[in-house]
Amino acid sequence: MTRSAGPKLGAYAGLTALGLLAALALGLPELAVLAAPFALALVAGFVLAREPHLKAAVELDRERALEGESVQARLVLSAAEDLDEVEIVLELREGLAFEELEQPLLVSLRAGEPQELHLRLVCRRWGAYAVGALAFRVHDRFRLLRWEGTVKRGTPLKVYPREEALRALLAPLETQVYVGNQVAREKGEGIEFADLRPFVAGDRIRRVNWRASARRDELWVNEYHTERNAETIVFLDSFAEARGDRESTLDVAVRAAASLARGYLRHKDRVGLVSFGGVLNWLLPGTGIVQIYRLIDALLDTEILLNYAWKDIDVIPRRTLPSKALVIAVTPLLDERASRALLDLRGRGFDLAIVEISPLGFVEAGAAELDRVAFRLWRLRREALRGRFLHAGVPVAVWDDEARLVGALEEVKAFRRYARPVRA
Amino acid sequence: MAPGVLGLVALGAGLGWGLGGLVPWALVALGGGYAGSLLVGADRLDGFAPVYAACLITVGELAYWSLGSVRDEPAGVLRRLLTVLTLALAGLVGGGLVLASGELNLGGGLLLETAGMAAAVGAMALVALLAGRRRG
Repeated sequence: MTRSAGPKLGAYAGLTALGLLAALALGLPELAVLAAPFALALVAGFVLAREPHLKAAVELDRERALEGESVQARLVLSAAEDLDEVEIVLELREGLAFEELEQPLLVSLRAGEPQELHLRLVCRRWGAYAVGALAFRVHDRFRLLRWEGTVKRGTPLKVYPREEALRALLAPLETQVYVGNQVAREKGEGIEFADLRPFVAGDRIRRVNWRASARRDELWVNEYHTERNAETIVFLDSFAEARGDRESTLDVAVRAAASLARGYLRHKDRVGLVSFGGVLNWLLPGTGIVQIYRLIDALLDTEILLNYAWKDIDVIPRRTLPSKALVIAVTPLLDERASRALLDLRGRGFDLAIVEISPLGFVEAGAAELDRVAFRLWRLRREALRGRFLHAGVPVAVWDDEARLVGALEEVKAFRRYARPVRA
Repeated sequence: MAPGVLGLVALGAGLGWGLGGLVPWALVALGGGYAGSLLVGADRLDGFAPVYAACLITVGELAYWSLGSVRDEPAGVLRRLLTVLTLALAGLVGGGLVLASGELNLGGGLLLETAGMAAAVGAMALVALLAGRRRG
């Protein structure tokens, strides 16, 4: 806590000195009388001033919330002595805001009597926050001195990205050996019809296809595709972002990544994460409820850190990118490093699909002719980059304000339906 | 008369434009106007000096209150009014005591005047020391 002089202190001290000196210089005791109340105020102020002992804590009704939800907060203040007109300013990071709150707050506290203020917090953006940091100012009774301090300790609050509704997901080209919801190419126990073959000893009677058997005068049985799980890696490009007034491509990308991760985990698939940018972050593929929380918590740590170092996919640990995994890249295609890394992934034979978070909604062409030409050139370069990916067999679906994520995934599915993947 | 008018103008400007730095100068001008009237006035001590002192401190307190207040709670308004009245009353009583002591004839002299100046400067130095920014 810092103690400092209020504006009145210097003024009153100066007036007292001026009055006393003038009284001596001019021989007018009345001027000393004029200075007397100011001197008395100074003496009383210093004698009665006590450093305040203020305690503040913020309690939240929950530790996790979704974007757009409100959280109830309780600010509890207490002091060891009577404090009048404590000014409090609650500090919040961008992404959170208090609803209907006029700051600074003005509170009077009685010694030993905690006071509670009920506040409503609106979660505007995903992220990991600490709520409760505040700055306060307390004056002494005569407003000659003031004490200012801060409370840094905050209560953690995790705001999760809101989920986009996904009716169907991209099916990977290859599946894994564990049971899941993906229809595999292998034949075995399942419910999706695969083929017919002649009956051999040991086949179950319920598998006999009586119609085919009647046509061929011998027993034929149905074969089914097994259902296996798959591994999906969400590849998040965090090198650069385009930022508008309220949100950026990174905000949209994290929501898309979270929606995809949740969707695949619900299908009992194993999902991993690679956040490829200024800071490399990864999560090994896993499954279950715990993996959902691990993924979302890892996504909450995503941020754009300006970095000029060249990075390629060799820096990513091998176990993070299993060979048969479907890699869904969520990227604004703004940084060359991310684009090169994705082309490199495709060159190494990974099953890759790209959901492009279009930055066009966040930028505007300038008014000058040269700016408009530069903007068109930039858009053409982006088209050429998409063409390179399509030529390499990587579907690119553009997700902008008008389309939903499910529409972007349908575009990718349509491309994969007509493109024939080459397998060694 | 002129310093008093200047003081009022400065006070009005300070309050109107939120310039707290003008308030002490306004008080100096008002006090200066009073001092000027004493210099041209009678030789006897002015018995109304404590009243002027109480009024001056009240003007100062109310001026800083209007400049510095964020928002006013009703209970806070009452407490501050009481503080202002207490200071005014203390100024009246204290000023009266100072005036009464001014009636005493101690003989004067350079030594006494030097002691008085040293006391005034020492008091201000002490105030400056105590008011210095402290981190707790």
